[in-house]
Amino acid sequence: MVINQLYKDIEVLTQAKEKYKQETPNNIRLQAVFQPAVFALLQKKLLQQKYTTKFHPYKYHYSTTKMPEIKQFLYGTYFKTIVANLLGIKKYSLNYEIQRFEAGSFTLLHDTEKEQTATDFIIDFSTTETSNGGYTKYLTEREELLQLNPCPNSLSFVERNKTVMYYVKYVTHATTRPLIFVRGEILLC
Amino acid sequence: MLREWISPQYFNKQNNLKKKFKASKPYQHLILKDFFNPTKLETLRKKLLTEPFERIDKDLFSFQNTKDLAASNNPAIQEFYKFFSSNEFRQLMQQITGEKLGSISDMHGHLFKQGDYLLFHDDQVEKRKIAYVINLSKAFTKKDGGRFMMYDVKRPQKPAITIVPQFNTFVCFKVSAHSLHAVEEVLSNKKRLTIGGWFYGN
Repeated sequence: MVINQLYKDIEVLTQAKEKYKQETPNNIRLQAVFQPAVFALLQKKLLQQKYTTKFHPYKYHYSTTKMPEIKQFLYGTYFKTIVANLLGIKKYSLNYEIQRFEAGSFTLLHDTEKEQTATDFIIDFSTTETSNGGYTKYLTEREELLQLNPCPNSLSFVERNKTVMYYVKYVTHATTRPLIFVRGEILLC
Repeated sequence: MLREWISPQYFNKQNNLKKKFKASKPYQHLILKDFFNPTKLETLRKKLLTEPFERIDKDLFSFQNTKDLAASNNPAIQEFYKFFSSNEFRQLMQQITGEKLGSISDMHGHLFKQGDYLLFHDDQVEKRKIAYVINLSKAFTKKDGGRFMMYDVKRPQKPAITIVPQFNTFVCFKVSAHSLHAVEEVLSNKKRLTIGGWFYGN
């Protein structure tokens, strides 16, 4: 059960792939990814976790944690099926982090200058859709490409070449609820 | 011109200010309260608020600013710009900071409203020698946010110095790899208004 029946369906994923490929940069956001009860449970656990602050004045300020359920999902069949059929990637390695953003959290652009082309993913466990910052902005030096506002229970993929960077907008004190993301990248083997 | 614009308490205090600037931590700076002629500064404040402000929003900041005030058509702003860029004032700044200064550049008005901020940075761009901020905000207290924060680069977790925006406070500091600073998010509906920019080297 775990995830929405839709995202186990190869045909649905193949259609989603078409949409993904049409966008510049290639990107897609899948909504209602987990079954509501599963999502609620994971979200509750993520909120109860103990987090460690990561801070570098020129790079980032947020907190992280580890949770076995997230690892299980990312290395499990459902995620593999989505990656294989939606992105067309069969062999890959994963880097990921669970991130909590609250008032005062941010990441800056120079932290995301990466050498390698990759497909980024964000699983959103936020408890709110209200955006007081906390959105992820993709851009190149020349133009803004994409803004991903907080969207609970969504899974987004964004293909990123060397010229594309992102940052998470500073979260203002108007926010009352934390934003929680599982953010990672899929690297081709 | 200097005596028209600067408060009498700062006349002929160059040596004293130079010592303070040199000895200050976490990097060389001065915080000079009631620095300018308050009547002239009040006029400047009112006129600045009539200038067009444009919102700028990036990873590092969110606030509004004016175009370079050197290009303003407003006589009060022109008068201030003329004074601030004069040889007389530049010489005073050279005496205080011990830096050889050329022109000023990029003098802008900055307006921070609720939720606006400027994150950590050091201002380092080629030839920038001394950064300055002229506070024109009114009635700010600590709980309103908007404080100017100076950090020790080795201990950036907490600010070494916090400056609540206060009308007629002049802040200047030496730009270097150590001049880590930020403007705290404005937490109330008060407007944080400043004029800021840099003195460049020769």
